[in-house]
Amino acid sequence: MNEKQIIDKINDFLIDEFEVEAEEISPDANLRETLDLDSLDYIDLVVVIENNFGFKVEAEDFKDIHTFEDFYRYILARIQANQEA
Amino acid sequence: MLLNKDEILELLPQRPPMVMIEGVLSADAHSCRSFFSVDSGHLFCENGRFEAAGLVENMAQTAAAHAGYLARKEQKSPPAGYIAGIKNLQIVTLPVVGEQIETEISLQHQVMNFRIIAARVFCKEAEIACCEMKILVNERE
Repeated sequence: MNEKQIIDKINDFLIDEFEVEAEEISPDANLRETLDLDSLDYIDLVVVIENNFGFKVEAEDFKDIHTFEDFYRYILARIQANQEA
Repeated sequence: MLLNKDEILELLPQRPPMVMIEGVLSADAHSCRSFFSVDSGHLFCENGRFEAAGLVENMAQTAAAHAGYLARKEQKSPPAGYIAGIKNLQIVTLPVVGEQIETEISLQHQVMNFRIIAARVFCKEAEIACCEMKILVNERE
């Protein structure tokens, strides 16, 4: 998968899991506010990432994720790190 | 049978009439299967059927018995668990008085101190209910 395909896949599962409209998702939008995430929703987010990409996100990793762009970059970096390992 | 009614009471905080599993048939690190006979006098029986709330509690208690069983194997106290969320609950039919249900739970994910389990309830070998349950687990030594 190239970068665009990965971002499309991320957006698809966010739309599906958190029932958000595709138009609401933009790289600069705030992830937590747009998806209306509470603490339990973060557990679902960890699960959906693991189901789709096969790695587990630690809670502290979310500290530096504010926008969708941050989220994409984090996922892409983890995928790349896994491929290089 | 792996665990009988008395052994289950050592793993669950609930006491009759709130106990909604009768025995554990099998368990391993990731899954557990319990059974329960629907009794006419049961708290969650109405109009001859075991209500949906009872089925959900039955699934949760099967998960609790599983967690308790695993803890006991490691010489630990059974953890306290709290239902934090239920997703994709489907009830196909409600079992009637006299029927026996078997409930299978499988651990899908462990995220921090949450366990996400998939639960399926069977009656006469047909699946009659299922859900995904998020359980907050408070481990105790």
